[in-house]
Amino acid sequence: MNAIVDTDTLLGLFNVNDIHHSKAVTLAKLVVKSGINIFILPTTLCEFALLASSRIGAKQAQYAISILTTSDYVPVDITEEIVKESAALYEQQSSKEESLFDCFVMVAAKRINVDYIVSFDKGYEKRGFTLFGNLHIKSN
Amino acid sequence: MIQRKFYLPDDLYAQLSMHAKITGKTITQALREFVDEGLQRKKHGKQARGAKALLELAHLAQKYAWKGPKNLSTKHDAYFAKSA
Repeated sequence: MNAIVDTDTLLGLFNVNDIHHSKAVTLAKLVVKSGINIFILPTTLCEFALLASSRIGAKQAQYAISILTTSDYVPVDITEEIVKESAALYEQQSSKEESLFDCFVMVAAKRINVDYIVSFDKGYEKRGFTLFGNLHIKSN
Repeated sequence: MIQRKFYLPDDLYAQLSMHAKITGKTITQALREFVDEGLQRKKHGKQARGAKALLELAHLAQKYAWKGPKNLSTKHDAYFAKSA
């Protein structure tokens, strides 16, 4: 099984003060236990790095990025097709809460045919994606 | 349909041809089924690539008490706008 990880989950893991920290840790444990392969987009890493750096600390953010990128996670290349499709999807968004970063996640999730998105954002469910968190925390 | 050129070792091709003959399928059909079965098996296998890095991130955050706003994960779009 495969899952793409979104920025909010990374921030939840990285920030012990975050309201989603405990849930993010539970999710990470379940991901390991379930043998799920993790995909992370370069755009997600960029969004995470900027937020982590500005709200927690640059050194901590650099450390986190190093841990993620030196692990055996599955990187996803942002191809021209993904950019065009994401831009087209972004044009259809009606709320400012739905960012271009989210569109990249949704387009990549479809293209690589992942089983789940690891996120707390219910917006993905409305778009027909399965959130790893909801499904597994409710059933465990 | 995508057309690609692949090389198969002689013995593998011989086994594939034999399987196709026995099951009454074309070689292409047999090959597609084997690829599909193999991918499904891989998909359901437990590999957990990259998963431990997520836990490592959390352990470090707890060890060094990396703290930020409580709503960083839920309001990250707003924080992003402020950071940019």
